[in-house]
Amino acid sequence: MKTTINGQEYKFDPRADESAIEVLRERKQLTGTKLVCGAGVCGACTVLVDGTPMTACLLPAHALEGKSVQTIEAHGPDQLHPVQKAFMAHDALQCGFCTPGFIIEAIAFYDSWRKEHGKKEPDRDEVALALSGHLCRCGAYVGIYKAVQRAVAGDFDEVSEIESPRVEALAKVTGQARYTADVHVPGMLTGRILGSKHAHARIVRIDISAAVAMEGVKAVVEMLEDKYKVARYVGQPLAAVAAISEEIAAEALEKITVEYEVLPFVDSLDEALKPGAALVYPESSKNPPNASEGPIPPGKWEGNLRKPYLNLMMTTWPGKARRIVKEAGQDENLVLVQRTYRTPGQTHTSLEPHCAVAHWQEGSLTVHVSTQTVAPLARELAKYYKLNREQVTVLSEYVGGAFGSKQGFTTETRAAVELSRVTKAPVKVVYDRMEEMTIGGYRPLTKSDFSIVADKQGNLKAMTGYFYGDCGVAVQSQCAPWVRFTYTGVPKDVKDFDVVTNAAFAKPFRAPSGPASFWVLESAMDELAHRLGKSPVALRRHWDDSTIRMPLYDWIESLPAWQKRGEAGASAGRFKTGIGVAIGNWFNIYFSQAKVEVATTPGGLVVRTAAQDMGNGLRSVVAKAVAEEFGVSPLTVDVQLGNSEYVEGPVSTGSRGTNSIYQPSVEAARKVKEKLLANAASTLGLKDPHWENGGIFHEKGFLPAAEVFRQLPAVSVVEKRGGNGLFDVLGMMPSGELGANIVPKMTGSVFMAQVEVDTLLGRVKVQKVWAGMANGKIVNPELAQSQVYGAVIQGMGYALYEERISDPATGTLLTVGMEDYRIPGIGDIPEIEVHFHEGGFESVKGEACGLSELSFLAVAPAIGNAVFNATGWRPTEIPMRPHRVLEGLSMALPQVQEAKSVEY
Amino acid sequence: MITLVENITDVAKAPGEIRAGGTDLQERLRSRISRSPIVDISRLPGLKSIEHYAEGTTLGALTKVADLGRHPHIMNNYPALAMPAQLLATPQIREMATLGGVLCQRNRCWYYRNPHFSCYKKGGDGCPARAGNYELGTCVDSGPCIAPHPSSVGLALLTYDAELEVTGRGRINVTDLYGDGSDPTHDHTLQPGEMITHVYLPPAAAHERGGYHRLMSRALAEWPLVEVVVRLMLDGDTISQAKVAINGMANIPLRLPAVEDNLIGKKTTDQVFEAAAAIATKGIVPLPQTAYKVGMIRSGIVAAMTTARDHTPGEKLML
Ligand SMILES: Cc1cc2nc3c(=O)[nH]c(=O)nc-3n(C[C@H](O)[C@H](O)[C@H](O)COP(=O)(O)OP(=O)(O)OC[C@H]3O[C@@H](n4cnc5c(N)ncnc54)[C@H](O)[C@@H]3O)c2cc1C
Ligand code: FES
Ligand code: FES
Repeated sequence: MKTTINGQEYKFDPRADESAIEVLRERKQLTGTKLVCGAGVCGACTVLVDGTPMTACLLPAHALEGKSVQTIEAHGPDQLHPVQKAFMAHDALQCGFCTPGFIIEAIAFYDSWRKEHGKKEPDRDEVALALSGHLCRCGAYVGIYKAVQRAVAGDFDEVSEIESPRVEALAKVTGQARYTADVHVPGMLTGRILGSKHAHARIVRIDISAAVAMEGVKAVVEMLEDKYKVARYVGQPLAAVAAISEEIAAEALEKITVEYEVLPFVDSLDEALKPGAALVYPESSKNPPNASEGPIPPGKWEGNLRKPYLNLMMTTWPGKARRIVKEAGQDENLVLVQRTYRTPGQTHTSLEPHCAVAHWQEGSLTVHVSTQTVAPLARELAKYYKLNREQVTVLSEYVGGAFGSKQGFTTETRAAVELSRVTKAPVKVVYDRMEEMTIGGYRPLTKSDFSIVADKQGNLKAMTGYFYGDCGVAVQSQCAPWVRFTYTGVPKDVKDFDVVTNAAFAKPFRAPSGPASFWVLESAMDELAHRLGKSPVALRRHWDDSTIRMPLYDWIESLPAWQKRGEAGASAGRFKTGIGVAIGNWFNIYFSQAKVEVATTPGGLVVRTAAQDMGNGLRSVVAKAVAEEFGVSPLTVDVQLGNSEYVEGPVSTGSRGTNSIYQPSVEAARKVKEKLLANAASTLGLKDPHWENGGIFHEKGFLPAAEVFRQLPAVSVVEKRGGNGLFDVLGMMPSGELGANIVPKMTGSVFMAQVEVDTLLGRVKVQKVWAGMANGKIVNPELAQSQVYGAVIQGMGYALYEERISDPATGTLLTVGMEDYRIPGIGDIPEIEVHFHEGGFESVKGEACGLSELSFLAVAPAIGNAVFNATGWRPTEIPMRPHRVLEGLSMALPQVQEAKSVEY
Repeated sequence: MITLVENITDVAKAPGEIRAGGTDLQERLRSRISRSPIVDISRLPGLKSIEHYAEGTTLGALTKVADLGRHPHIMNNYPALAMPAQLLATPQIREMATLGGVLCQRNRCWYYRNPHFSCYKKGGDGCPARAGNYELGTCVDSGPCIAPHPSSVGLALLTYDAELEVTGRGRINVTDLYGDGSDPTHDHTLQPGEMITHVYLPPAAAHERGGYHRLMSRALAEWPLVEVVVRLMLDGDTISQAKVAINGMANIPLRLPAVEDNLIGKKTTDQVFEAAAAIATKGIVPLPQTAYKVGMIRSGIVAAMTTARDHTPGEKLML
């Protein structure tokens, strides 16, 4: 069979069921085209076939006969299309995994639009329709709209030099960024994992003989890590296979026979709490996985319920809080809001799935892995396999999204390493989308019984909150701390409870537990304000014990949309609009041991640190910090990340990247500069040298930076961040594997949303979001803004669409594809206005704090409060999918639900 | 195994499942829920065609869905077919999907598509979705399988009383393609080896207005919870004839004759639409998981009728 790929003829003989994606990625190693959903939903695999965009994952390889295929590789750095330049200039990408697909589609749109309409700028609806077959999990849509509109309008037709705020943008828009999923090592085997068929079963026997006997199968290893040999959720890894091809590996999995002794199971939080419910951990010694980023504190088990003793630290005058809540009903002067709230499991579903390529050789282990914790993972691997730390190298140059799901030593890495250890060959394990959805991670489900009391004058009196978190077989959903640390100074009885179920384990997800906490707290707060007849912003200002949000309240109150908002439920007709506000409050973390190396080479500046960039922009923050010191363009700074051989940088969790790395980068750059100046005097004999305007000025003239680096001997400085001084709460504590120091002053946000509710069809459309952020200095405004856009969009998904659903009869997850698990698409994106109020963190080195998590917290409650303002219906459960909205609109909730309190 | 057929007569002889655009089959092969040999018909000559005659319009089975949506003849004369063809799935899928494939695609039930479950359609003997968790299921109990019928184009063809040319069977009505929903083992009534070669549409109706609505949670590119196709033939602002069909309600696409009859002779007012739509759900007994669809069915019908009244003929539909 003959086809043409990027202008070159290609002859091959396809398998019967082969798709074009395999031809491109496997036969031709054209890995710019990505495989994500494998089901035509996400568009990451889009290529042009005779000029028409098609999804290569569903296009039969046979359909390429006589056709001309164009992939992203046809538009390399020397032949950039205006669309690519526009994506770079407008920061229309974060992790970049969806980017080649979007660009290919946008190029086709550019051509067809130009033909019909010339350089007239298309409106947002036109762009949305054209790109509706693409999904971006990072939420880069705001930039994508702009980029496509402006490219079509001609802004980039004549531009040759392009500056992007994101230093690696060129690699991403050309498909040249090599992610772990793209790594190909000669002689590499494919690994696949066999998951449990049952939600709860003792594994009596695993017979691998038939699989091992298959031609092309190189190894089969056991994967179950349970001391009682019990599988506790569907999909729990039992065994893994390495074979010379994907097909053989898949067939081999089917040849493994597992003898199960099926045990009773529980599939939901409510079931798990019923008397007599089947126990997830019937054994006396329980060892649940940890769904949080902190250690698991001790607790007490009662069936499937676990009561962490940490709760005792969360309460302030708990008895008084319970009494006020209990008696509020009888007290004329008090107003009580009391409800049960629910939030769904939210799947991370990064577009690049979990994947690893491991190579175990005599005396060394090299692992390419899509991770957000490069340095600690190398340590963990060394410890687990009893190797010296120097024998292990972890590589992760580009990461196609993570959001909290790719921390530490995860299952796909274990499978790849185990298989490589046996075969001594490199082994690649990539989750398919079903695995990614099932065992790749999710935000825990919660059910919360919450009460809040204020007096008629609006003084906050008490709160009680009992937060039940369902992390599947794991524990550590932690909502209580956020409620504890917000609106402080009143009696509070707030407690977290773990409820284990036979479902895959939850993981930390961008602002772990925060979105559920603020959904509860800020929905209740808004309801109370309404019942008191007070402005919800004024009342928050009154309750807020932190000064950090005060300027943000001013900003919200200055917005015409806020000033013009109507009474709740006053909007008439089928389409009702409303405005809602909510706040966020978040820990301020950094890693005092973070190090960075700044060095010069004859070719220029190089910066190295064992950290990673999953699209959050760490590379650009570092490049900018160093470049500004030298007065050069960030694009000339070669930032090398994702290699455990470098000095240890921060992990990418807990919004600690910028706070940890910005200041040492600046410091190291300064020291390098000093050394260069000294050398300029000593080796070149320059008199009175000083650095200015991108080079060295001296008595006789000017030596530009490039010449300085070329002529002077190479220098290198390693700088450690260090603590902030006395103010660090945990600065002196051993920081554990992930390393965290906490600044006592929390960062803050105030968000506002405007929605339109279609009361006939039950659809909530978010029209605009205003995001007010107070997290200190903004180092890189464009990228900071992109992060906030992404959080708003993921937060919208949480509020409106995303929900893990499983089958009650078997405990099997049903929302395993990207058409059934719905993340926001381009047509759903509202206008988003970001307002940074800088300052307030002068005691923090560098004065810059994290924002990625902070910007997620207030999104859902702001939307929920806007829905209430529009319709008069108070949502308590998310996502607000059409059936819930229609149901909610058709019945009014009772004002006060039954009070429940939990005691020890 | 694969057979690349070059001749229509070879289709009946080749063993296996037909593959046209492959957008449905390739996904099932990847997830391994379908494993039969492939009979690739994409190279058959002469089946990518839109031809009109006095007796009507003939569409070849390999015509792309995207072409149905943008062909001026279809847009102007068969608006209720063009509309779903413009909006179903995604732009890329519409460029790959064929008319035969969109009509014969397998359903999208979570349980059918998930290799962990056995069901009627995979040789099993039950419908696990019934006692399961399936908010997208049919609203009414229309047969042993509660997966809603998937084809947006099949729905539109129902409102045109279209006929199909099937190899070995001759001409059949589109309703015969889908049966009555009592056989849960298949999504259509074609036997192995039978293939749709053409679709026949009746001559264009005078003063026809097309309406279409997909109810979903997001703005674009999502499988609908309920979808409605409406054709209104107008005499000024009076309805002389109406055709209304709905997906998402039953396991086959449904025509709603009582709703249609109620519209005849009436004006195109909101009140008329609402009264007619109410007939669609009168007396129906919804399944426990999908009672929420009852209101949506009425809303969807009203929304599609409103589009039929207000949409400028010949223009692309925006949702
Ligand atoms: C993300 C996504 C969203 C979608 N949304 C929608 C939607 O909203 N509405 C909708 O209607 N569809 C939707 N689809 C389904 C899509 O329309 C179908 O996949 C497509 O139309 C199938 O056409 P094909 O030519 O690719 O079929 P193929 O995959 O080649 O075949 C599909 C089936 O039809 C049979 N078949 C094909 N041609 C013939 C023929 N001529 N005679 C007899 N049998 C034949 C095949 O044997 C096979 O069983 C969606 C698909 C995706 C991926
Ligand atoms: S991978 Fe092809 S559409 Fe998602
Ligand atoms: S940039 Fe789109 S998925 Fe990450």
